[in-house]
Amino acid sequence: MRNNRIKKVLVGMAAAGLMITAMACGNSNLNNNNNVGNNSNNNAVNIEGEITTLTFWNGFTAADGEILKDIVDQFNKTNDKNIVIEMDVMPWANFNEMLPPAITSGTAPDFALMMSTDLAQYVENGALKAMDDFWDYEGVDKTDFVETSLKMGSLNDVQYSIPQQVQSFYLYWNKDLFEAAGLDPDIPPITWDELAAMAPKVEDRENNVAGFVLPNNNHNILYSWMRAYGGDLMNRDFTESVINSKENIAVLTTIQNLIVNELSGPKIISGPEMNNMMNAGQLGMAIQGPFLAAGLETNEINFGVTTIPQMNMTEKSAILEGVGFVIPSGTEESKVDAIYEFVSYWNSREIGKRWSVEAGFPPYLKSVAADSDVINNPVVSELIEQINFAEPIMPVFSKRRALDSDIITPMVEQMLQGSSVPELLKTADEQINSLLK
Amino acid sequence: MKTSMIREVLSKIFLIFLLLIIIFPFFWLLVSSFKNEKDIITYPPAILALTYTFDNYVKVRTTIPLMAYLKNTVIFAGGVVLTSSLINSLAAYAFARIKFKGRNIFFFFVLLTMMMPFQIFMIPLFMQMNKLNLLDTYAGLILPRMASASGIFLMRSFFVTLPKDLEESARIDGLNELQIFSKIMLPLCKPAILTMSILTLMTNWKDLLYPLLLTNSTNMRTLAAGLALLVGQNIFAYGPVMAGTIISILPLIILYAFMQKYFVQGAIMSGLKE
Amino acid sequence: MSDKIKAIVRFWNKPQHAAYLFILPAILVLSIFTVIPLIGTFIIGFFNINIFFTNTSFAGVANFMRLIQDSRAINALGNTLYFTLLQTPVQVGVGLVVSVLISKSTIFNKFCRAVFFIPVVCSLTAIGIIWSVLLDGNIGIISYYLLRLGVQSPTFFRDPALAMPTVAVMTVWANFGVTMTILLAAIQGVSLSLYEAAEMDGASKMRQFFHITIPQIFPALGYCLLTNFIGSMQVFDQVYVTTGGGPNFKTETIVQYIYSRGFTSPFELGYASAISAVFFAIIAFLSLLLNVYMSRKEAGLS
Repeated sequence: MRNNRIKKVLVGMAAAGLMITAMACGNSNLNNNNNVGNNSNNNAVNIEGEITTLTFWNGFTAADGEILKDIVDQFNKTNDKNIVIEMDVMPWANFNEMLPPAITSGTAPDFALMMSTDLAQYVENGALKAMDDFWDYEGVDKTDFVETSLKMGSLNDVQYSIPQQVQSFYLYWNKDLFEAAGLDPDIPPITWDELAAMAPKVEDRENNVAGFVLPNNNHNILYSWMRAYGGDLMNRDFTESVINSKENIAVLTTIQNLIVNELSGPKIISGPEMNNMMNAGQLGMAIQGPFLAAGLETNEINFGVTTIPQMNMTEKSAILEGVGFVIPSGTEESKVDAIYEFVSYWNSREIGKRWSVEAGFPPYLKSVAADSDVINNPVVSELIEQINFAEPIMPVFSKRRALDSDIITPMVEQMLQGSSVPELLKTADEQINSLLK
Repeated sequence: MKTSMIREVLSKIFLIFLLLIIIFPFFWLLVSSFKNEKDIITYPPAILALTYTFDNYVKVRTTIPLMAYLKNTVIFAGGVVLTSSLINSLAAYAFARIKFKGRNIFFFFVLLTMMMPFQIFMIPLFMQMNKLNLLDTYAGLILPRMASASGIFLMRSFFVTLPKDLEESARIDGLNELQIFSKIMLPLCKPAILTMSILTLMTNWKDLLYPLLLTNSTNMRTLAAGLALLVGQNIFAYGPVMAGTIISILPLIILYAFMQKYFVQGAIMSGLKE
Repeated sequence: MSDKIKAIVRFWNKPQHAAYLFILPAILVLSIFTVIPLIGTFIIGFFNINIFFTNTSFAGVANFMRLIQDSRAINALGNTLYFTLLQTPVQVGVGLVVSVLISKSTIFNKFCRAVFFIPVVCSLTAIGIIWSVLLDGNIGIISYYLLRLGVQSPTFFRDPALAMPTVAVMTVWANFGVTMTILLAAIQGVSLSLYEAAEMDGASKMRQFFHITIPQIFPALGYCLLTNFIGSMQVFDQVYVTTGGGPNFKTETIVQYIYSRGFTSPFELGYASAISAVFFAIIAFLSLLLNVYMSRKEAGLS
């Protein structure tokens, strides 16, 4: 009797196992190449010549990632050099956990995208190939690239990364919540002071609505605010901390007052949670990268987006970040040309325009910026304006991540819990100096 | 009499309360996996929505490579179960039934490894796999787990209970040692093997840190590692994550429904890690 | 077959020689993939190595010296102990109470046993995902209902004071089924005659519980406490998924800290190994202490 029961169960397990394996195998085309489902068909079409398969990692997990997938698909179908790209996506934080061991164990992708803030530590450890010869590749026009976009990918005058996109941080506001608070829904704050004044008004405790929040893991908002008022983290050569300044004390005190005393928003909140609140219509204002727009549209929020607040209208500043193509040092030389084919495809006017308009990123190619469709797009044109004065901060500083998570995150969290701002800045000052040793 | 009735009622209420707080989150997860994206992250939040969709289960295959995760988890956990069952049983049989020189020393060695949690040596293990070029491979995931002290311990305590002299009669019949093991011993301990297998399957299916460490690319991730990376990031789509979570727990729950007895036995014999 | 081969086969067929072949695979695997890395932990702690394997240098005891002064490491140890001291007694307590309540094999009780074990079968990742969204302080359903009830909703995983307790309670929710199962088996093994005798002497249910049940199941209780303790000290999965160590490192546990030192910038594998080595010593010491204490107690009871 028991044997029968066991037999039945084993048969059931085997059946389930077969089913799962069938599903998995049947989808292996979809899985191995997250997007290139038509791979095998393409191979049948491009019969002559060998196929070069390139593995490609990046961190575009949000809506813009779907557009990226589509562009890669299109390249696979239309390129005449028999190149097939297999794309692999993981969140940026984990990308940085997974790429280094992959490089040292020889399982790294052929090429990848990398955030400008992460470039330095890879270069210092000899993990990336130089890409200066990209400028010699057919059809590539170096003069079409905006100077700052190239600077972000260059270290010691060697180009290690070719731009894939640039982004800055913008102010999004919920028009409905503004109206409910008695504010003009079409007029967002232009200066940080205006933002600090509007946030408490938009905040509505009873309906669980917050006016403004400072996330604990994305410090670009803090850095923007600090720099608008003339403060900074370190000196130009990254040899000394300058964080303990009266400008910074003033800025941090304002923020602390906003969150702790005026209760404009929750004290401890992560970046994604801030996005969720915005997407749920529970947050009046948020400062975030361009990708937030797509989420807001899906969630049918009545929103506006504009330049990040400033101190005043004459000295404008904003943070520029970028993402660029990189080639791990272990990639075979024979594949570099194929990689350059895709990189130049990406940096063409047609694709550059598509990425700008569909994904909402400001262009860094002059030919794309001059395109009338781009100029006439209301969201993108708003974003372009900021790129003109945005600058990368801490470029090529290899300890950026450690600075952010080990020093600034605890500082922000304690600040928002009400600890003494001058004390916090003094501690951060010491910690940064010992990090820089 | 009254106090015992009150006690009865109170304990029933307590148990029903516990049942609710166990069942509710799973119910909520299931319902959420069928909601439209904008209904999942919405305010005010609600358990039920007006419309539902299968979209998330369709999207789960493209937004997250869930089927790859599932396949990897099956191969990893299944591979470990198959190999470790054999290797553990072999060793356990020898320790339990054969007197050989150094038996106690070797067994003590095995016991010692039981006290070494993976986290303690995960860094050198990672470096070792790196150097052996086994990172991001099925072999790299399965090899270190092909033998386990707790499995050997479990099987040994079962072998010890089999009647003595079972081997003697078999030897007289002319069977060699391997045949004695495979034809006589093994068939007798089917329940123990099943218990150990289920325990091993469950532990490895659920494992997060070990596969997280030893795989790099998305295609090699297991369910736990893959889903863990989707939380706390700028994730656009919660729907597929909900659907993915359901798919990740479903296989073990279904297995549990059919083989509850073995799960329970396995838990008793091992005291799972926290 | 030649004579030589026959001799070899005959040699290995002797049980006491065959045994070595039987245990060989297991011993090999355990040596290569457990013992060697373990020794490696102690050795690598004396070096400075990063994940790119560049700039490798001998560091002597520098890593260990750094560890002693590392406030974040001490914080992690404190957090881990805090979690363990919260989680272990509560889980064993809940497991004990529940196992007593459902010790009779009624249909309702059997249903309870089955349901209470379901979270055990789920990965802590899945459980972390579920509770992260449910307990989200801003748009989570639990906080919404609390607000409706007029209570200011705590932010659970994001509240520095509540984060660790929340993780502990979530862990109890996930795993009490194991403790319950083990103790249930132990309780069902207590001979009924003991209870009958006590009934006749007029002892109340409470007295029976404390003077019969507990002493009788003490070995199982001790086993639960010990394994739970060791397991809790190694907590990682649920913290990684729900809080990532925050807020303000209040939930950063030792394993989480080791992971962050080794696998996030600047990838200091040497230092992470030094921490692992010391951690091993601490766990071994504490478990030994607990084991001795429980054995004494057990001896005292019998």
